[in-house]
Amino acid sequence: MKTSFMDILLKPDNLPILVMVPGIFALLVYWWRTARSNDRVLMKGGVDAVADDMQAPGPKPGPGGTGGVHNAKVHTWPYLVRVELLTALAVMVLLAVWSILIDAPLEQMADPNRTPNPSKAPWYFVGLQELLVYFDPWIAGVVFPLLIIVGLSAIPYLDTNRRGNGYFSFRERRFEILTFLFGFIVLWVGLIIVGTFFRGPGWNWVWPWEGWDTRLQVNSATVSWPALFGIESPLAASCFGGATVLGYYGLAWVYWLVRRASGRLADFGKLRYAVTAFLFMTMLSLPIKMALRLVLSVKYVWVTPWFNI
Amino acid sequence: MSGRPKEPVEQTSHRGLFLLLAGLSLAAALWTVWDETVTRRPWKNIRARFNSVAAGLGQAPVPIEIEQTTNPDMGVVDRCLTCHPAIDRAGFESSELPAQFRTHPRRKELLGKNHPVELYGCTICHHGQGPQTKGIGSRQFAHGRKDPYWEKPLLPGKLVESTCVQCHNQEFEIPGAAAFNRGRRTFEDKRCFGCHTTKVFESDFDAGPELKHTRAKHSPEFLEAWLADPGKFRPGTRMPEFWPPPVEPESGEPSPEDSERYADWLALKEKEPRAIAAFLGSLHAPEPLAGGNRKAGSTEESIKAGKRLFNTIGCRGCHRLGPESGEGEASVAEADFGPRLDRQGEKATAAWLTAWLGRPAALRPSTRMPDLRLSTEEINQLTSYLVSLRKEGQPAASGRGWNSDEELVEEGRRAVQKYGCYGCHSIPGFEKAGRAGPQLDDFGSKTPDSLEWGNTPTPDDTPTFLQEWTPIKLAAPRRMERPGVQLFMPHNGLSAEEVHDLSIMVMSDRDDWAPPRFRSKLDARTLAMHEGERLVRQFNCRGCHEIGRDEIREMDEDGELLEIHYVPHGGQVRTFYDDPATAPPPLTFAGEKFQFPWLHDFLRKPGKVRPWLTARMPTFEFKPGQVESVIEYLAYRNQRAYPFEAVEVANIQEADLDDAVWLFDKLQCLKCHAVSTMKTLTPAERAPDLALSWKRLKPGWQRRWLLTPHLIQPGTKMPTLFPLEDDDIPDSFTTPYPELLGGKVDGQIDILVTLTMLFGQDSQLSLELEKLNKTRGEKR
Repeated sequence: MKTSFMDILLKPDNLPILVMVPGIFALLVYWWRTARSNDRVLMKGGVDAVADDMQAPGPKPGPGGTGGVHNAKVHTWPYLVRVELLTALAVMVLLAVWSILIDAPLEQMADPNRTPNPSKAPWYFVGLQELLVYFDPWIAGVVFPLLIIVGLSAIPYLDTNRRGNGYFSFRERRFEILTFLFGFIVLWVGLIIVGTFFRGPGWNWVWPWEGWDTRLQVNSATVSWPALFGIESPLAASCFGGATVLGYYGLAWVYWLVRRASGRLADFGKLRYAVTAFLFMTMLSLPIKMALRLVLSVKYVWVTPWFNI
Repeated sequence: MSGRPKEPVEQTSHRGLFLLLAGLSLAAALWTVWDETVTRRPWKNIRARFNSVAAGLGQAPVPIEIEQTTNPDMGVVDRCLTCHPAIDRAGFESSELPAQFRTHPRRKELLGKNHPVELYGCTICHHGQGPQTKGIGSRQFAHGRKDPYWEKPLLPGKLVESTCVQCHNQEFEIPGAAAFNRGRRTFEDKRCFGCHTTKVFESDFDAGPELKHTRAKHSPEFLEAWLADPGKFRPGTRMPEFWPPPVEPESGEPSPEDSERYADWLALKEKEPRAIAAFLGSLHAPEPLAGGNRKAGSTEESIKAGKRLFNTIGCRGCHRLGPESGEGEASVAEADFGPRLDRQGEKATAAWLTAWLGRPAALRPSTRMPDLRLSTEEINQLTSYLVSLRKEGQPAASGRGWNSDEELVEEGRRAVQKYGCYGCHSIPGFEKAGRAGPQLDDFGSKTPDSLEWGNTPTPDDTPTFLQEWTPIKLAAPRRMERPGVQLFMPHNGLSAEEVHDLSIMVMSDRDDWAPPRFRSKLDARTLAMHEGERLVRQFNCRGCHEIGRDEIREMDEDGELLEIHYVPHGGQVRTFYDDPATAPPPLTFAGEKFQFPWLHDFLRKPGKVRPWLTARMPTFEFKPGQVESVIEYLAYRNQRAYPFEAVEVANIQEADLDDAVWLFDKLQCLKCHAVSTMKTLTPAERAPDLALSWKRLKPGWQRRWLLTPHLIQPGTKMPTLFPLEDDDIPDSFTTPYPELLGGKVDGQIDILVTLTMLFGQDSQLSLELEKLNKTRGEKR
């Protein structure tokens, strides 16, 4: 009836996430240390020299080294392939031991009339499922996934910063790296963790010290954004909500008007900036909507007879 | 990165790491093989252990392999026999063997031809993890009882009886499933069906009385006290307690009197019964009570006569007075079939009682109370008596003084809605309200999240939650309450045994009953027996009549028969009759005794066969087909064919007829029997009119009756006409008139029977005999 947080944490289903969290943390630490060290070298050696070097044909030097073997090419065979072999061996051992010690987490017979509570997506999609709390399915399930795929595909065409290619660096790609880290670590991975460990029966928020209780019934009243300002008439509320949403995207346009002369924005060009800004603002809208929902119980910002946002 | 000069990492050979990983891979592969062949096959050891046990008993060993039974139609893949190889093998019954290796304790009765293990396997009845021969990883192997995802864990104890009904759904009582049968009876007896539906039990009658005449039936003071605590007024009543004292959810102990919960309960208990009483009192019946204006009042004599009637006319078959009046607990359920009637005078008004006794079905069409065809005088006497049944100093019910405060009435209506009174009672205005409680269909397949635990401590997350929840709920239905979740199920005062049995019964309603072709298909005869037994129970025939008896043979040490006792099934009412001959007759041999057409007519429209009887066969409101079912049942009980049976009367000659008349006269049959339908029997002639025999009785039974009347009906007035020559030799009958027909008892009985069969058909013969009797009487 009541399941403790430890039970949830140690469920075989959740092991991949338990592995993923420290794994990602380790990778972040490794990247950060390398990037900082590279940044220090770059500070000394000058960014331009490295960048020019990167444009030039021929073997690319790693910025970490100052000449020597680091500048040389390394052959795939045997140097890469044997590392891959070792990795394959390690993974094989890991999987064999895993499969002996932990059996497949089979549950009861599937029955469409009796769905488990909570019903959760595969762990890698739990983050998307979490979006359903904040947005209608057509946004959370269709628009957002589409924008994520389109946005990821568009990165090569939008990212005009040529620096930091082929080596780790933070200084040279602050905006790009922070945007990516926010989108991947905070939103994607973070929401997976939230959805897996903090969403209990009825998809209600459960703190680790509470334990899952299938009897829990939470009825939370919600309001719409215009109602917070005392706007009740549907037409006025609709206009107000629309203005809020358009005004939000308008902020990017204001930023363009103010900063278009500066170097970075000038490089972007109007169209590229518009696309980037749209994707960026859309991504940012997610935590904003989450905050509105969690703090102010706002369900919809913009209510129209045809769609609700 | 460090700038130390060393071999770049891309170019190191990793030889050590490679060897380590290669070694680990090999180890992992070996471990996998070991795991698959040894760790995950614990049954190999178990079978080997069994073989050593079998060798010790001189029994054949079993091969070390999986034993599996499959039945795809029922979804059975059972490997239970792998670790329990002796289940269907004789020779392993000893209780000294480990339980795992013992023979099924009821192998002879249940396995073999009835439930062949090869076909049914084990889990159809016992549940558990059929295909499983090992634990799943960290989940312990406990036949599914510790695996939260295993929906059908092994059923412990008597709970296994809850699976019988999935195939045996036609039986009224399932042989060998005593606890389940008792539970199903409790379900009916406690009127659970008023609020809950279930596949396992359907009722033919409404659970409680109709409440349209409340205003004329009760006093408001009584009704308020009754509603608040029916068991206090009348212990053992079927009306449950709707305001039971609260219990602490965590411990199940009664709430202390200074707690908030207790105070809330007290306030409700004072307010709501008053409101409901006011609401019920505000209802005006569509038609006034028939015969409601009772003219004659109660007198000493009428009360006395009423008491005599109550004890002897048949009321006692179903009603008793209860502990309040000094009567102990009923020894048989039949005696408590109807409500206990002590304090009835405080409960019901004389006007209502008069109308009710006149024709019960007029006030409550689905009632099981039959019509006793009482005369106005009898009704008056019985009413006088019932009204006099009051506790010292308590007033009789008046039907006056109802509170008509509109607000209170409205509150009462809401309370009726809230507590679902309409589940058992038909209440004007609530005709379409349906059942008050949740359906129990598929209750046995319920999942944890569909049950309300409240703040009651819950068991660990195991699949046995339902087995633990149900008894708690039945014993204290409101314990699972918590803020925001109010529960309305009343307290039924079930004993621990009743809780146990009822739990089994309600859990037997699952969503996965066996496919139709595996259900028991009873032949028409068995089916009729079950239906008949059900009707006999429903009409409480056994309240008055003995139907069936157990024979107990008392032996001495040498195995010589000392005495035969008969333990009758039913007929408890006879203890109220001074003269057993005036009690309702036993029906154990009814199928052998009665001609069915006559019995049919009699049950439809009972008449007087024995006018001296104080007990009166009432008129039941049979539904179409029910009379036939009852007769069919009585016939099959005595191995008779139904509906057609030849009535064979020995053909006797004219001369024999004269002999018969002579014998008839000699045996002085006419001293007690009449043989003419024309004449009314005098009280002295305390025997049935023989002119009825040709339609009523079967010759075979008559023969038996003439030989051994006291065996068929202990206490009968019928004398033994053909005594035994030697008491120790059965059937050594002798005749007092050896000169007739060569002294052959059989022949004499034959002509007697034939003669009686002629009476009704040959009125001339009857009259002659009457005359003969008369002249002899005069001579005497």
